[in-house]
Formats: sequence, C-alpha cells, structure tokens
Amino acid sequence: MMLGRDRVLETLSRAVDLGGADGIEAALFASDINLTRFANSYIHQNVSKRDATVTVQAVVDANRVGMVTTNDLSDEGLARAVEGAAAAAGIVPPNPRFPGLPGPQEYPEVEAWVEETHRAEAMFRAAEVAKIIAAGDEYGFDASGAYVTGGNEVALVNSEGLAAYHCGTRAAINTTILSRTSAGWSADDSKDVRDLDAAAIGRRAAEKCRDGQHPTDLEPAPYDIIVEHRGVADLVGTMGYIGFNGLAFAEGRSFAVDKIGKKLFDKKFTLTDDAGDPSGNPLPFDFEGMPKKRVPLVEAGVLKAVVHDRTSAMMLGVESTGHGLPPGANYGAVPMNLFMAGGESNLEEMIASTERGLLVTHFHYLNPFLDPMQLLFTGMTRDGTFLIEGGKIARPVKNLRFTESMLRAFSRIEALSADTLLIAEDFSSIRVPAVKFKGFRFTSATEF
Amino acid sequence: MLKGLLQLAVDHALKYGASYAEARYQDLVTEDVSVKNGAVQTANRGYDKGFGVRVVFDGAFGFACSSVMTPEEMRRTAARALGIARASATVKREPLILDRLDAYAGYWPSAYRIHPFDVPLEKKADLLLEATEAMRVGDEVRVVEGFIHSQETHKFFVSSLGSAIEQRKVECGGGLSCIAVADGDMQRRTYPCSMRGLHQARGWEVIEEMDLVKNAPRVGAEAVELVHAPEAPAGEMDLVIDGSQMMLQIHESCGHAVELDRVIGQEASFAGTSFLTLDKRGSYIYGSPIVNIYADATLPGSLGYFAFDDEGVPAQKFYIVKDGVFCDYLSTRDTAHLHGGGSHGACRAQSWSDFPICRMTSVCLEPGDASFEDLVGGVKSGLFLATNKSWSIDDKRINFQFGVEYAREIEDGRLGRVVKNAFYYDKTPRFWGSCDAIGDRDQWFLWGTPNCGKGEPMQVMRIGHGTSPARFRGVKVGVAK
Repeated sequence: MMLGRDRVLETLSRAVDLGGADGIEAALFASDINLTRFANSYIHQNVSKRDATVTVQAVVDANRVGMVTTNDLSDEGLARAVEGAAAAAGIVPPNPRFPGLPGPQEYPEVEAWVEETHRAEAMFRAAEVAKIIAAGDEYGFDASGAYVTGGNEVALVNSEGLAAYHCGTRAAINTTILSRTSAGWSADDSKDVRDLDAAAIGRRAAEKCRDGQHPTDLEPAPYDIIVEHRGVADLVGTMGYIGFNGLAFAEGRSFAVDKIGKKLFDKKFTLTDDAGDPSGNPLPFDFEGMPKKRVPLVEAGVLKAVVHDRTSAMMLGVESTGHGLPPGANYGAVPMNLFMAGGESNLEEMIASTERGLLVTHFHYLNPFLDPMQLLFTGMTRDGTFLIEGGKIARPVKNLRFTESMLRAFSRIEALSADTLLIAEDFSSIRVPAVKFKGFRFTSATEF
Repeated sequence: MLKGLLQLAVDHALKYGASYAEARYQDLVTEDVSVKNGAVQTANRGYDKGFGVRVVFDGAFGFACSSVMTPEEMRRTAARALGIARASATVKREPLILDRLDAYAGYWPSAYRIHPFDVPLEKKADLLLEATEAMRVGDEVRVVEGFIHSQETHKFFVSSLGSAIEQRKVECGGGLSCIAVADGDMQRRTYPCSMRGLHQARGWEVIEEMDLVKNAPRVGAEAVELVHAPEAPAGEMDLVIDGSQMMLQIHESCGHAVELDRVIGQEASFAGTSFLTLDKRGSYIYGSPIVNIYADATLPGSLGYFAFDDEGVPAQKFYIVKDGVFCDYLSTRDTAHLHGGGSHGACRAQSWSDFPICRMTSVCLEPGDASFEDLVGGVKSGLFLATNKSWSIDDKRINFQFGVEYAREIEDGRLGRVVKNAFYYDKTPRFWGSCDAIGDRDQWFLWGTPNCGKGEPMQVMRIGHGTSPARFRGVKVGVAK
C-alpha cells in the first residue's frame, strides 16, 4: 500500500513546518515489497513487506547538523523526530563539509509507475513460479529462485522550498535450476510485470543446467572469456560504485585521480550514467533532491569524469551531478543508472571467433577491495561456465576464481554484443552488452 | 498491552484456518555518531518499530507485517499473511514440518554496565574527534574517521503454542579508520577491526575498553607504514592469522556452510548452498584434530546472544566441529527434523518486517594452548596477517580468498617487515586441515560482525565470533596482478 504524492508531501511538509532549527529537511522512503521465494521446486518463503521511514535533518548555525529517522509517521512521531534532530544539531560541533540545504529544483517528468505491477498478488506470483518449476520438471531438475513485485516512493521537502516526489514499480524474477552436478541461472526484471515471461526464464535456466551437467576440471590460467550480459553488469556495476565515486576522487583514493582525460581502457569501452534515459530505470533526482545529470564517464576508452553529490562537489568547487545517496550514508556519490555502449557482435559470433576460451554466465561474490586504486577484483564464476574450443562450446567446466584488475580487463575488450540488456533495481539500473575479454586472469578453481 | 495486541493477530489467523501462527513485535532505537577529518559527520537517532505475523496454512508459510499498532491492523495483517500462505500452499511438495516446541513465557534483558544512550552525544563526538586527530601522524594521512553505534532492541513474541516471550538487548560498538595516500597508492588501517568496527551486546564499556585515543597513533602509523611498504610476496607459505581476520574466516568458511537452509537448497538461487551435505554430518573431516568450533547463542556480550530466537526456541550452545569432525548444523523449526533432536535455535529476523530465517548466532573457535610467540616461532618462512580487507567465497563455501589490511613477514620464527596487499586463498577443508596451532585463552577475543547479508529480501544480521589467532601450513598467498 503506497502513500501517494499528496499524502507524502503533506506528511513531510508537516514535519518541516514544525521548525525548531535554522533549516529542516525531511526525506521519505517507502516500499511495498511482495516476494515469493521457492526452492526444491516449492514455495518456502512468501512475504509482504511494507514500511515507510522519514529522516529529518535539522541544521543550526549553517553547518551543525542533527538527524533522526523514524517509521512513526504520526504527529507525535514526527514531532519527536524534529525535536530530536534539532536538539542534536544544537550540541554537535560544526561540519565544514556540510553544503547546506538545497533550494527549489526543477525536475523532468519521469514515468516509472505501472499499476499492474503494484497490484500483482501472491496467487499470481505462485502461478508464475509454477511455470518455472515446470520448466525444471521437464528435465527432472529442482528449481529455486524468487519472484518480487512491488513499488517504492522517495520524496524530500525542506525549509528552503525544495519539494520532490518520485514513485516507481519493479517486478523481477531470478531462478537457479539445479541438477545433481550443475546449476543454470536466468533472470529478468522490468517496471512492468507484464513484460516478464516466467516460462521462458525457467526454460533458459533449465537448458543451461542441462548443458552444464558433469563439469570437468580446468586449470586456472588467463583465458579469453565471453561474459554474458548479467556477468558484465556484475563487473561494471561494481566498478561504478568503487571507482567513479566523487568523494573517493576528492580524497585521493580513487583510481581516477590524475587520470581524467587519459585513455585507460579499450576504445570500445564507453560508459555513461543517465537517469533520464527512458530505456533505463528513470529517476528525476538524487537522494539530496538534486536533478540527475547525464554524465559520460568513459568515452572510447578515455576517462571523462566521476560523479558528485553536493559534498564532493563543494570540496572540488564543481556542481553536483545529482548522484547523492540518502542522508547519513556518507559514502559519496554513486552512478546508479549506467549504460555501457554495445558493439556489433553477438554471443554466437564471439564464441565462433574464440579458439580457446570460456563462456561465463555470471559471477558470484565479487569483491573490489583488494586494491581499489587498480580496480583489482576477485570473484567466482557461477551457474554455467563452459570451455570453448575451436569456436564451439566444448564442455562444461567447474567454477573458477578470477583475480583481475578491471583497468587491465577493460583495456583488453575484443568484442561487444550489439544487443544490450537492462538490469534494474529499485532506484537504479544498468544496461550492458555481452563482452569478450582477452586474457582474463583466473587464479584458482573449485570443486563443482 | 503488547501481548494482547499480538495475541489478536495470532487468534485471528487461527480463527480463519491457520494451523500455526506467531506475531513478533520489535522496537529498535539506534544512535550513530561519526566524525571525519575533524568534523562531526553524523549525529543520528533512529526509531523503528512494528510487528510481523507468520502463519502456516495447509502446510505452507505466509508472512505479512505492519508498523501500525492497532487492533484492526493486527487482524488485517494476520489476514494478509493467511492469504499469502494460501498462495504458497498451491505450489508445495510436502507439507511443512515444524519441529515440536514447548511454550515459554517471561522477560529476558541483556546485561550492560553503562547504557550507551546515557552517554551524552557530545561526549561521543569529542572522543571520536580526539581519537581521529591522534591518527594524523604523517602527511600521507588523508582521511581519518571514527564512529560509534549504539542500539537497544525490544522484542515481544507471541505464538499459538502459548509462548509470550519479551526480550531487551543493548548493543554498542565502534572503531577508527585511517587512510594514507602516497605514490599513487592508498592504504587503509582500521581499529579494532574493519567490519564496521567492533560491536558487542554490552554497553558503553565496549567503547571504553577499546581505548580509542591510546590506539589511534599506532593505527595512523601503520597506515603510513603500509602505503610505503613493499607488496606482499606470492607463493605457498605458512600463515599466522590474527583474530581480526580469523573471525571472518570462521564466518565465511564455517558459519555459513553449516546453515541448514543453505544445505538443503533454500538459498540456492541467491547466497548459494553448502559442501557440508547431510551425509557428512558426524563423519566428515572438516579440519585438523585441534579444530573445535561451536555455535553459542548463550554467550553473554556477543552479537549473537539471546534468550530465545525469533520463533521462540531457547538459545543453545553446541559443537559444529569437534576434534576436527563436522558434527552439526545451525537449524530452525522447519529444518530440525533433518537432524532430529529439536531446532538448534538459529532462526533470526533482521527486523519486525522480515521473515525469520536460519542465521548464525555466535560461531566461535575454541582456544588452543599456543602463546603468540609459539605461533610465530613455529614458522620458518611465512606471513602474519591481520584485519580483513577483502572477502570472497564460492557458493558452496569451498574456494575462498581473503585479503588483509596488515601483514608482516615471518622469518625464522620472528616477525619481520610490513608488506601490503596480502591475500590468501585455499579450499575450506584443506585449509582447516592444515591448522596446527591455535592461540591460547589469553588471546581469545569476542569479535562481532554487524553486517552479514542473507536472504531475499536481503536481511542484515549481527553475528558474534570468538577466536584466538591460529597457524595454518602451506597456504597459497597472492597472485601476479
């Protein structure tokens, strides 16, 4: 059950109007998530999760800031939040990095709400899950996964006159289908539940599981690899939050320091953050209420920019690009609507052009903290890894661990698929092609 | 009042066909204070409360929740949970088996010496400002941060078995972080540990015992030392691993691997499964004979401490690995029939709005008898590794790779120079099988990780890990970049 624009803005205005500090800002996050989880080919968890929280920031003397978050939206609850935030602001020392509260902003019209998605009920999801399970049953495999439908709202109102509201829906399916020796995975998501074809998703995962049975050992070594779209999204999304963060850049701890304008990657690599592109998951403003700007991050292999919130923008004397996180996050700006440009190839051509290499479905447990200045990542392949020999899929292989610098990997792009796939989360999205990398470094293997 | 409201939800679910129902209230108050580079960055209070209703209908679960605490909403939420369970029941294989459980009633508060909310905000801010500034020991120091988190959780659980369980838990924690930048490199050093600091289920005394101000100059100096240090070597060598890294080694390679929901495939599509399949219980050689690992929800002060889990099962202590042999799982009422003898009381939910799932409580390595000098003295050529920096493990918990913040070479039984960017990797049973010495009781410390993610929708859980440093033989370290 969502609150709706009028009630949300009225609730936040009520909090702001209570006053008690030099400046007040109230931000609301509400979600209505309905998630059906299945494993061993039956539904084992099935939940409806609803909540709405308001975060009140009170500002005293320009840069002394106190904050209270509450899910009690009653008059009493809001009053306690405002009073508490103002009291804290009166106590804490000044924060010279606080950029102040923003004034009124203008936002583009964005349509991200699909009523059919929000209205999807548990019986509907159960029936769709049954189709996925049936796809596994065809081969005698077990199906597991989740089907989520729901909506969310984000809004800000402050004493400087800013008022912002956005709502969106999301439907998503992921499934892993398991045999005794293999796993196959598939997923899809959209703001419109009617776009999702559960039977087709189940079929893809079941076929991948079928093809992956009885994997054999493969020596860890550098291999040419073809990474399917969702695996690419794993890599690029992680690069986005670890590498293109304006705060990390301002503090000298980003790979991008002293590298803006330099060619760091293959010329086929172009990456843009664009929350206004309707082929993504549009969002009109960030969590500081700033309008989202289109930011070219990498153009033809040349590093062009990082993204900023109001804090890192103030530190560097530039403008916010509209990439701030919610109050209190303190992480810096994150590109949340990434688009990686596609090329002219496709998966079949990439496989056919590979003398010896690997086809990777996606990755598990990516970690980017080994050496952030080199974008050194590690992670495992998962749910379908195949050896390519002589331009054809030769056999399934057991999963491998990579330890690889993304600076190196994305400077060794050999081909990109022409088609791109959108992977959307609640307020973020990433659209990527499939990619063929030369000499991607695998460093150890596992037993399945 | 609370009991009566929650009972309304339970009764309503039973009236309309549920074979089992429980209602769980949770009220969480949090406080976060953080400073960065000489300024207070966060001074935040959080208030979050509501209730969740879990029901069984026709052998299947349904769950719904609300933050509105009225009689009408109790009934409405129970009805939503029932409707969801009806949908679950249309796609089931066998009816759910909930293990038998007695009813319990009473009030259980956790112990603390100084309630962290009684310590003024400005005192916390001043402490952090003083400690962080004390880390500025060189021009290389670019970012200094400090943080303190405090929370009190009030829970009330009512079930159709007749239980009425009220619990209160106070937790406090914090830490320091220093980033040094030089020569195109960046290194971070944290104290006492990197996983968002050290947290325990005690009061302000946790922060006092850390002595942040005293330790700060050392933390800063180590960050500066690291940024100028040579790269760690690569190869196969012996390791002495400090408790600040052992805690995550235990967490990832043992704790998650023995969650019975993973073992039977309930997390297959997300967190993964486990190599510790049902046939291995009681016979599988998990580690060397000196390895004894246990789960203990009764351990006072631990983040995994409670009197009852979130489905009303009493807290327990039991061995996971005894004398190197894998012997038992973390389990919940719906999985306990797979091992017999009742649920092991490991059903936990992040919040009132979350479906409770199988989680770690406190998973600990028993101390051995080696002094730190013994551990290091037994290494001819190897590394001492401290404080987790990166972590990754496959979806059956076999192949892992961990990086650490701080490493020192060991030559002929003595600690040598500092090296940076060290990481090690291995397979879980080989690694634990190579453990030939564990630090003694004096080195055993109760760590805690406050941010363990699992489940869909994602739930973040606070988990305890007690351990000493330990020694492992012939582990692979580093690879060429």
